[in-house]
Amino acid sequence: MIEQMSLLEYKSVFSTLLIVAAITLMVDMLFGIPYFFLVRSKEEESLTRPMYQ
Amino acid sequence: MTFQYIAQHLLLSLVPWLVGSTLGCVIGYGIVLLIRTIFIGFPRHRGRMVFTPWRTIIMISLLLVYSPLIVVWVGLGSTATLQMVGFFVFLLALPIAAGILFEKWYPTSVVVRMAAVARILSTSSIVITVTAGIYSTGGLAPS
Repeated sequence: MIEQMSLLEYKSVFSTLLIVAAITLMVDMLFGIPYFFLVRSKEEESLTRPMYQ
Repeated sequence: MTFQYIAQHLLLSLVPWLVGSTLGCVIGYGIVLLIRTIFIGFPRHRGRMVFTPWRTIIMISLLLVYSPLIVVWVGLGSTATLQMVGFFVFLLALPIAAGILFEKWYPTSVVVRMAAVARILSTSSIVITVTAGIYSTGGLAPS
């Protein structure tokens, strides 16, 4: 039988998840900056490309 | 015994696959329709949508699957396995379905696609480090 988790253990699980979420979000946004400029440059390139290509 | 084991394995993998993938595809389709409506209404905001933290949300939800929460709520057994597999498949089906539709409506170049995959892998490596470092290898334990 699994014992019910105490409030302290719930706090421990959720605080770990929150820390990992913060690190993941930071990396996601950090890589998002060059990705944003890459997408923008490629969009401009496709808009200026002649129709026959 | 072996046949029973195989049958149980099939049941525990195919039923959540059916439910999870169907739900994931339907909800992913709905989200893409909603985002497309926003794009049509506000075309200038399209570039800023790359900062939507959907990768973080999916990865942290995947981590939630491996936390002891489901087992504590449901208990050990087939029900917990069904829920874990179903939730996992749902979380994978959602961005896959949305990505396929996005690629159809807003095709991108190979470089952008590769950069997007690199970004997904960067967030997933953090989550894998937690699961491998704490639960499997203990390499992440504080000294």
